[in-house]
Amino acid sequence: MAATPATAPERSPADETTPLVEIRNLVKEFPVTAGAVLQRKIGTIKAVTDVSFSIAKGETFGLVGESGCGKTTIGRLLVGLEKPTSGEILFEGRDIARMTGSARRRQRRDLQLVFQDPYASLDPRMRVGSIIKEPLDVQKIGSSDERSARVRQLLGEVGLSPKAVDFYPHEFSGGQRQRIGLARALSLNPKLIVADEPVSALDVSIRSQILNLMNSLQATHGLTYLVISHDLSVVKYLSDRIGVMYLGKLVEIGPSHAIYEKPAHPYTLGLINAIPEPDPARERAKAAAPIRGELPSALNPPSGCRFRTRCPRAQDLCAEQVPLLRPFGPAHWAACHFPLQTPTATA
Amino acid sequence: MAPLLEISGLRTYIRQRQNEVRAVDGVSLSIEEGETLGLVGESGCGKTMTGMSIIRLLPPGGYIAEGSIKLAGKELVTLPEKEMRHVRGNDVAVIFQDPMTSLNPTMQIGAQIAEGVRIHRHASRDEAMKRAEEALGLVGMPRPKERLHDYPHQLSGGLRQRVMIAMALACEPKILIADEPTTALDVTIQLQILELLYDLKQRLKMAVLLITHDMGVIAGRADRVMVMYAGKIVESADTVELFERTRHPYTEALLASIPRMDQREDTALYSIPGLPPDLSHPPTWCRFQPRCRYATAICHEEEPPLGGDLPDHEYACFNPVSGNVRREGAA
Repeated sequence: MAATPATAPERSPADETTPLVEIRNLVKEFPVTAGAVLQRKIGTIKAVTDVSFSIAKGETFGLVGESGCGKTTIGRLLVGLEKPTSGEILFEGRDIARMTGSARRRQRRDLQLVFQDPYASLDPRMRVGSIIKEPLDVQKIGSSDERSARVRQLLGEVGLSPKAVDFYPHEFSGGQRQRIGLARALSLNPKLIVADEPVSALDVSIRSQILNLMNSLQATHGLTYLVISHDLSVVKYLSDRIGVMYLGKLVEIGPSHAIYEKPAHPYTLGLINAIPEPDPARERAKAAAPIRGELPSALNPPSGCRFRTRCPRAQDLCAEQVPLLRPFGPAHWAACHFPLQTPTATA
Repeated sequence: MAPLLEISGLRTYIRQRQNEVRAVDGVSLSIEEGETLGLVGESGCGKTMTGMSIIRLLPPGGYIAEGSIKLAGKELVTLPEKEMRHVRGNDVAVIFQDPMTSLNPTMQIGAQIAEGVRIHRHASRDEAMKRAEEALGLVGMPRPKERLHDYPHQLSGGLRQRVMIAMALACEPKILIADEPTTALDVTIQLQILELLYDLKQRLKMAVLLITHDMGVIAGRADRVMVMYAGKIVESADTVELFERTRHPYTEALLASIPRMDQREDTALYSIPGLPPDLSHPPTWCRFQPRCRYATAICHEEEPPLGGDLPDHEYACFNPVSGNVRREGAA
């Protein structure tokens, strides 16, 4: 466990039912090695440090932050591509990180991943039909005919022609490939889809098609999403709640409108202001860059508050004490010693 | 006074095995000294090809089929390659999109910046290194003297893009072509780099051709905007004018399809149906017609000319839209 005190907010009374996903004090460390043969361990990168949050059924939770903040690692931990160093990932109440064998294999059906780059995440030598069918083959679901029928049905759902089965990925545009990726993720009727930068590689006009498709698929399939992106405007558009990450830590979490309208953490405000808006008057009225400098190294994170080296509000206290998550309204928490809003007594 | 850069009727084609792609199909534009012109459009619309035509760095099979590119009165299209090499990096500099791949990984950054100065300015090794240090300081690199001997892999993405900009500025170009200068960077770093470019432009009175797909980047930094679609300019105006009084349905659709921070989550985004046309066989009518929600019979018969009844605001459309997309969208 990390030396920092538990910063997990108590679950608010609002979600009475068990959340679909509950992440508790999650830590993931990557060893840094030197030498080609002996692989001496020379340090540890703390990619995720004591992160706790939950996702309710049918909800879209957005994780936002700059590259290297640990958001993708959380997505990979959740679908089982990485093992946590410590902490728990509860899916429907069961710890998936400790699951093994057939239970693990069965569990994978419920958790699917949509990747960022639709050019790299589809096998160029497989036909689209086989790509979408592969998860069904692996999990041995249905007869051959049933699987083929399912593939055609999935193609229809994501807005592609059933004829697509015989084509190769290179014959499709980026947007169409992302639709194929979504069809593959849907093939096993998952409960949760982790979408890691689902539209970052796409053109603006195609982006909105995929965002709208993701929303409609969620409605028809009762899906729960974890959307991971560096683009706060995309995350805000899709998500009910947002978690803002900085250097492995969750610095603010709350309903997406509260995060946008009343951000409590200076980093969140900086992210909001950094997004270039298609409005000349507002863009030109903006003050100078609120966040200075670059992301510090995760190998030696700053003491106390990790954001202090770039924070316009930082004071001596920030270097000494790690700020804990404090409530700033219903289900809204932020970890800052000198927040932009006044903390409330209860969440 | 004649504009610094004047492109007229530029057609840049790319020969492929079986066909020829008309990447740039009749583009005219001009940039004044100290002006920032934004060229905006989606991938494949020809915006990068337009920029690369200026310095004649075209992909294999690419050639300028027609048109003229005049830099301070000098015709670049027919300029012999030997003289063209003096234009590149000296009069016209380029910042590429990806700072991870556009620097030489085996050369120290100081030497990379100095190389251009030595070639174009015939400076000595020491003079060139001194200039490199100045240039690094100019772009806000912390401790520039120590950094001269760093290799690109030792720098973060934001710092590498600063090195790219320093390299571009070392010879004090008349015009800077910034091709998606911040697309590969994080939002907080993007803002820093855009501010830097704007500040440098003001101080050095440089002209900038800012090529991007991001309407937000254009809104804050460009004096004028040209919207490109399928190899053609479809709308051109002063930045504020373009956003306030959008005329072309494509520009309108682009603006309506961006999720905005102040937008309610339950409103569906407008999405442009279909895909851009195949530029090896472009239609002889309006190229946006199959995807346009306002298309009428004439749009399938004739190609709309770039024009219109407004001063300093041109658009190529038979059924122009009127008004501010933002306010309509917010209502």
